[in-house]
This record gives sequence, C-alpha cells and structure tokens, in this order.
Amino acid sequence: MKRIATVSLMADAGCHIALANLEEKLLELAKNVEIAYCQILRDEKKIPKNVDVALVEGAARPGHDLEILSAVRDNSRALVAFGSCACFGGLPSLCNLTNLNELITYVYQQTATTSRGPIPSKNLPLLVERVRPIGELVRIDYMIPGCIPEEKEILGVISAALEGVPFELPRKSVCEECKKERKGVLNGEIKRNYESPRDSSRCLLELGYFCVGPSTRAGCGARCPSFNIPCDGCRGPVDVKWDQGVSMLDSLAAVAKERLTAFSLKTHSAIFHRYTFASSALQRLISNLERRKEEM
Amino acid sequence: MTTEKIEVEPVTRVEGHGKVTLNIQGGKIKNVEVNIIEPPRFFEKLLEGKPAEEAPRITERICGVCPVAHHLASAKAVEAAWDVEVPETAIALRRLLLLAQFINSHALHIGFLSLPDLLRLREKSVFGLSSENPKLLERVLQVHSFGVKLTEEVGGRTIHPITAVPGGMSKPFESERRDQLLRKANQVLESTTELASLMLDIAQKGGDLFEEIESTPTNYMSMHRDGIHELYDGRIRVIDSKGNLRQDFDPSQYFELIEEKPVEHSYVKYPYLKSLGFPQGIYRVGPLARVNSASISATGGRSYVKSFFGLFGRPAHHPLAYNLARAIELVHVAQQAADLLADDNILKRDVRAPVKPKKGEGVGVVEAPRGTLIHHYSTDERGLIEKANLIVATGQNVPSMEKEVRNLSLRLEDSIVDGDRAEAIWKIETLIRAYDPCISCATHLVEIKRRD
Repeated sequence: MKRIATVSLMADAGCHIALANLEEKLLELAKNVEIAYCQILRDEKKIPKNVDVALVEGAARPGHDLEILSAVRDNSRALVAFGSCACFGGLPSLCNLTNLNELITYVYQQTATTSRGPIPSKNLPLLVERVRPIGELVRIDYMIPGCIPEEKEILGVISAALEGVPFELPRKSVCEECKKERKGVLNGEIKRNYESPRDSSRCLLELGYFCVGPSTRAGCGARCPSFNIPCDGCRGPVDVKWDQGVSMLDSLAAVAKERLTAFSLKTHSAIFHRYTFASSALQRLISNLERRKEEM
Repeated sequence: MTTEKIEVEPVTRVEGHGKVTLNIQGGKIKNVEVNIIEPPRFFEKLLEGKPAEEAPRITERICGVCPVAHHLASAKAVEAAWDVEVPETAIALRRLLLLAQFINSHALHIGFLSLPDLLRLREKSVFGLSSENPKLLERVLQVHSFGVKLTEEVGGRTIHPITAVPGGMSKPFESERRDQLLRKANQVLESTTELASLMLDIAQKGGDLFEEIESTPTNYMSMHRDGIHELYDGRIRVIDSKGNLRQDFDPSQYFELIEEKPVEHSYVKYPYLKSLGFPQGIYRVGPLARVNSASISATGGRSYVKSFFGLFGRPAHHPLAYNLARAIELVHVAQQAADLLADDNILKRDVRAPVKPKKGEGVGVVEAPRGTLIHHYSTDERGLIEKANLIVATGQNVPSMEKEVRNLSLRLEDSIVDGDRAEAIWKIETLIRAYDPCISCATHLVEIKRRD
C-alpha cells in the first residue's frame, strides 16, 4: 500500500482541517492508501521512512522548521507544497517587514495586557531569520495554492502525486471565472473595502476596489467577488514566475497614483502581496539590502 | 544520579503544536512542563498599518479551526472603533455563522479527537472509529458536514469565511438555501442528542482515566446575556472555584481585568485575573467554563445539564468534564441554529450599514468554540490599524492544563519511570485533548533523549 504523510509547519492548520472536511472522501482514500503520519488525525509521532507523497502545510523559518522539512523531504518520493503558506510564504510572511527582535519584544513585553516576564526560550525551538516559502529550502514536486486550497485540487494533487503524473493548475486569472459585468471603464476614484458597492452586478475593480483578481490564479470560481467581496489574491499569481502584487500595481498605477502613494509599505503589502510577500520582489530587495548592510 | 528527559512531541490529535517535557532524576519526576512550541506568528504586530476593514479576513488566518470566531471578533472590534451600528439581520446571520462554527468544531473534536480515546479504540483515530463503530461515525459526520455546509452558505467559504464586513454582511441570505439547510438542521438534532447521551454514558461509567486525572478548582470566564449562555454579544462574567460571581464586566473593559504573563518555557503567555494576581488568578474558558457560569436555555441541552452537575459537582472542575460540556453545547447550538434558520428575519435584505473610518479604539469579543476570544484595535483617522492586542481562547487554558498534566504525571510516576510508559503518556495526552487545545500547527519529531 502506498503511503502518505502530512506535516504542518508555520500555519494555522487550516489546510489540515480541509483534509478533515473531506470526510467520506478521506475515509475512502484511507482504504487504498496508508496515512502514515498526520499529527491532527493519528498518533504517530515520528516522520516515517519510505513515504510516497508528503503534503506540507505552512511556511518555514529556517532552523527548527527546516529540520522537519528536510526529514520529510529525505523520506518522501514526492513532496507537495500544500496551500499558499507553503507555496509563497502566505499571510504570516507579512511579518517579514518587521525586524524579528522588534516582533518578539512587542508581543512578549509591550502589548496592552502583557505583564513582566521573560522572553520565552527554554525547551523551545529558536526563532531565527525570516519566514520563507518551502520551495526556497527544499525541492518541491507539486504545489496547490489557496487559503484554503480547493477540495478538487487537494484530491487531484494527491492522486497525481501517487501516480507520479503531472498536476495542472488553471492558467487563467480569477477574472476569467468572475460573473460580474465588465464595461471596460475604470472608475477614477479608488474605493476601500469598507465602502459597500452600489451596483453589486458590476466588476469590483472597475468600480474602484482593490480587487486583485486580474493577477490571481483561477480555480475558486471567483468566490469572493460572488459575495461582493474583492479578491484578496489567496491563490497566488496566475503564473508562478509572476510577482502577483507588482503585476497588479502595474495595472493600477495609471488610475490610482494618488491614493497609492498615500500608503506606506505596511499598508500596500496587505493589499497586493497578502499571501505572497515572502516570495515577492520587495522581499528580495529588502533581503539584499540587509545582506549588504551586514557585509559593510 | 541518572537523569532522563522525556519529550512527548508532538502532542497528537490536537490542533497545533505542543509538547510535554518530563525531567526525571534518580527515579523521581523532577519537573513537568507543557511547552507550546508553535512559533509565534506575531499577528499583533503584523496588523499595524493594515486597513482595519481587512482585519476580519487577515486575523482569521490565526486559526484554521475556529476562523469564524476571529472573523467576527475582528469585525466587531473595527465596528466598535468606528461607532458602527450593525443591522439586525446581519447580526442574526453572524450568530448563525458562529453557531455553524461551533457545530463543525465540536463535532470534529468529538468524533476525530476525543471519542477514539474515550471508547479506547484499538486504532485511536477517526479511521479506527470508521472500522470499529461505523454507525457512530456516520452520526458524527452528519453533524460535522452540516456545520461545514452552513459555514459555507453563510460565510462564503468552509474555512476562512469572507462575508462579515465592518457594517454587517456583504450579501443577504437567499431563501432557497435556507430551506435546504433547515431540513438538514432538523435531521441533525437527533444525532447531537445521541452524541451527548454517549458522552454522558462515558462519564457515568467513569473508570481509571476519570479517577487518575484530578479535578483542579479554578476560576471560570465566559460571555453571558442576563445569565444565559451567549456566544456573540453579551457581558463577560467570572465565577470563582466555589461558583460565586467574582466579576461581571463589559468586554471593552477587559484590559483592566486581565493580564498575561510571559513564561520562559512556552510561546503562549499565561493570562490571569489582575485582581488575584498570578497564579491564584488563573482561569479557564471554553465549554466547561460556559456550562459552569451561564445557563443553557435551549430545551435539548438543558436536560443534560442536570446530570452533568450531578456527576461532576457545581461548578464542575474535572478536565474530562470538558468533553461532556462540549457535547451538551453541541445539542444547544444545533437547536439554536435550527431556530434561527426557521426565522424569516434572516432573509431580510438590509444587511450592511454605511461605514466611515475614523480615529478610534475598539474591542470585539465573541465566544470561540474553545473560549472567550478578544480582539482590540486602535485605528488612525484613515482607518489604518495603529495597535492591536489579541487574547485567544486556548492561551487562557494553558496554565490550568499544565498544572493538571503535572499532577497526573506525579500520580503516574511509577509507570512513567519504570512501567507502561506508553499507556501513561496516552493518559497525559488524553487529558490535554479534553481541552481541545487549538495551538495552531507545526509538526515535529518525537524523541526520547536518554542522558546518563
């Protein structure tokens, strides 16, 4: 029987809950495949050897995460980056904009309700460096993006990886799946998401919202726009070679110059690189600058 | 002297990553720690500079198990900061969404995480339940899938919902979806009472787990509305270990009453009541706290409450009482969801009030499946977040959980040091699982290091 292992690094367990939500389909899968390691569903405590397919949820901070990631990689034939944290660094990687010491000091010494105490360190993994997509640390064979990944892609990638055949993701944008009406006219005014769209049948981008559908990979059926909520890009860029946020900024710069410059990087990042900051051109730029500073 | 360090890592069948470290010296347990080793993700800092209206979709990524609770606490915090009045229909839909979260989260815990232990299955997992008691699993999955479906229909997605926006909900609820869900809700009720009866039966039978794990009296905190069990909007009350009312406050005052203490061996801070200090002021939240301190009004749940207090005393302190309390709540929330679905008011079209950002400060509190959840933001005049503070459910239970793990380890010292260690460790993990801790995820290797 072929063997599957699933692990979770720096994430919220949402991808694993998506596995549990498969319910009967998960039980069906478990009849034909051994689920050899899955911390949330079974009691095995050691990452097994000879795994056919490993699903890895979460981004990684080198250090402790890397040890686990390497153990999984070494023992698995095919490794799947499972969800947007693993694929691109995900939402938690937005904290890379702040220096690690500042993050630790704030959370353990400065928030409104924190009393005096030590910075945690005993019997705990060290916190180092920055949050990265797992593909920067080990080779990945498959990826399914999304926060949360779509059920059909979870089942699809597992079966493709078990058989050793390629798994194709949609190569179009969320806009191509979106049922909102496009008139080809952009509203000159840029809107924030607290403003309710007057005409809910119209394209949200054309109405002036920061909807990142044009640079985001299809496959979700344009779910958020169908609920009158602009796409926030959870499925990452249409093409893995694209920088999702830069391509979006590029198309918006002409119409939204003034309101874009009014915001700092901390604000922009949440709009244009909400799930892909760690793999963005901005992250590379910041990392390069830091490296140069250290070398000087 | 021989020293040995046992690390139970990862604690399994919990959501997230914790370990238990036991230090043994000369045949005696010297020290026991629960280490929450999940790396912090610094959401409080990450939120700075973000448009506050995006916070409900950002902060729900703290937790893949109870995202709805974060989504709603966050929307409420922004609304409090910006003085927004939410339309009644939107509040009803949010209540429904939160109930959906409770249904799927509680069903998941009962079927996937706790029953495999309590029924002592040969294979302690949902797969074991599937082969050893498929009828029971069918019940669990019927309830669970209803919760998932309801979350998707009201929240827009099964995990990480999208529909709560500052001002209300992004879209009215459609009647054809309602009719289908209502039919399902009524079928699910019977399964929830069956699960509660089973949990009651397990508790009544008792056995070594119930005897070896000690009751630890603590304070309890939960939301209530005139003393009635409340999840979405109410006051917060604290009762002491004798059941006396200690504090009753508006959620916006939380920071005057609660403090969190950083500790050396855990990435989670230890919350306590300021008035009592640490450690006297530690308190518990979640199903046990809610059943202890607020009354269950829905008819189905109420009948179990009497047996519950009869078995465990009032207030109930035994950690395994969490399992029965959770099952009682499941009956209660399923009934409430069915009632809300039957109410035509949820179909009204006025679901979103106009919103204007402003400089302000707001606290949003809801009950998450695992306990009281607090979001607190301040925003600048453009509505960008300046500062954020979050107190999440599980953190509040960790100090008590650790104390109980310590007591149980000492009680099982002989087995741990020189006996059936695997069985003893299983018992420790079963105790931890009763809390349904949601530590958020990261997974590691277990190793038992021997040092001579």
